[in-house]
Amino acid sequence: MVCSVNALRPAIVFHVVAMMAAGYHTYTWFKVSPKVVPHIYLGTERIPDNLITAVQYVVAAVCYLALFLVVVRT
Amino acid sequence: MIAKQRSSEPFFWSLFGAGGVVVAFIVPMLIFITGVAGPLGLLPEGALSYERVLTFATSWPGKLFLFVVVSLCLWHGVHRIFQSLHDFGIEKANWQRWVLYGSAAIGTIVAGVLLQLLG
Repeated sequence: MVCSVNALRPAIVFHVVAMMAAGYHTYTWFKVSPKVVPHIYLGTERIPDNLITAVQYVVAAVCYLALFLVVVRT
Repeated sequence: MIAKQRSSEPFFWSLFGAGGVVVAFIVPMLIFITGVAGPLGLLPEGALSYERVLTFATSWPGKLFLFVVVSLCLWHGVHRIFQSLHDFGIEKANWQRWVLYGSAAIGTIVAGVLLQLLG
């Protein structure tokens, strides 16, 4: 490693804050998206808002895992 | 008779929406990998080495990924800032559009040019 972790500490703290901000965005984005997407019906029942939100969390988890694995697999 | 004026709003909103999706599904993990796990040495040796990242950034899928992430995040951010001005009691004005959307446009062009210059 070129830099010591000590020298990078402010940068790491910054990125932790940025990551939490992005995570908060994810939370709010998934919360409002059921109100934005067209109404989806399963048979005659409208798919409930919280199911749409939940599905997005699952998809996001898959995306995060895939991204992490692509980077880790050297 | 009311003159109908076309709005540029749907165009910027679509970039905002696309950016919102990118941020939600990619960015938290991306920041964790590059800004937290990498510097802390939690990743395997060479995972973020210069050679590996350069190979990624010069491949077409890599270029596309970086361009989309950089550009759409900017479009998302500036639109959100612009819409938030109202909440801070600042009246919307055209110069704000130029500054905000302009900086996203410049960022998009710079990202595209730099990715091309990488080879």
